[in-house]
Amino acid sequence: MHDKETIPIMAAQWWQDKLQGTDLGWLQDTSYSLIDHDLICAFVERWHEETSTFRLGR
Amino acid sequence: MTVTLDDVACLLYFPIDVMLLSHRSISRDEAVELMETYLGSSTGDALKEVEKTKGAHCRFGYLERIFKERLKEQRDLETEYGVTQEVQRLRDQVVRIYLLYLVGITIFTDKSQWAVDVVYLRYFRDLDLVAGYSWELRH
Repeated sequence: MHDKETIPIMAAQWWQDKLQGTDLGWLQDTSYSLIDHDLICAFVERWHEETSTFRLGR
Repeated sequence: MTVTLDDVACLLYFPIDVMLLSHRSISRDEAVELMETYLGSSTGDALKEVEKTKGAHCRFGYLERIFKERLKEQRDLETEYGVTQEVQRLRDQVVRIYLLYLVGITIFTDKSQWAVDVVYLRYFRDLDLVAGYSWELRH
């Protein structure tokens, strides 16, 4: 989505206004590019199906 | 076991106080119609997406392509004729394409990793209403 052709167009005021109006712009700062596999495994091990929650105590 | 809204309210104390994201799954035909109407997809393109993804989904690669196309098209039209209705229409499409892509790679990812469920487009039909949905927790 962001490359040297699109970035200058996306700098326009109309783009900023429209994106801000949707209140979803914060998602742009979210990224799953870094995945900590140990952390995910730890969460999976602590998942309790009966209550659909994580048990994070000892 | 399905997590219900009641579970969420009772176990996690999450407040649920604005418009909920609530939908059933849609058919391929409905997905094609949504893409045509709100993304400006051609029927051929939209059909190809549901066929390739074997469901009411479209590929990120396709969204990237039409995002760039529409973005440039609206810029060229604006340069020549100013901000016409057509330019406004294209801009709305561009924003919807971007939002569908954005939720597809963040809050609504699934195992496929290469496509997004077109059903989320229904929340982007009127861009002025998007902010009224419960996308995140508010305190």
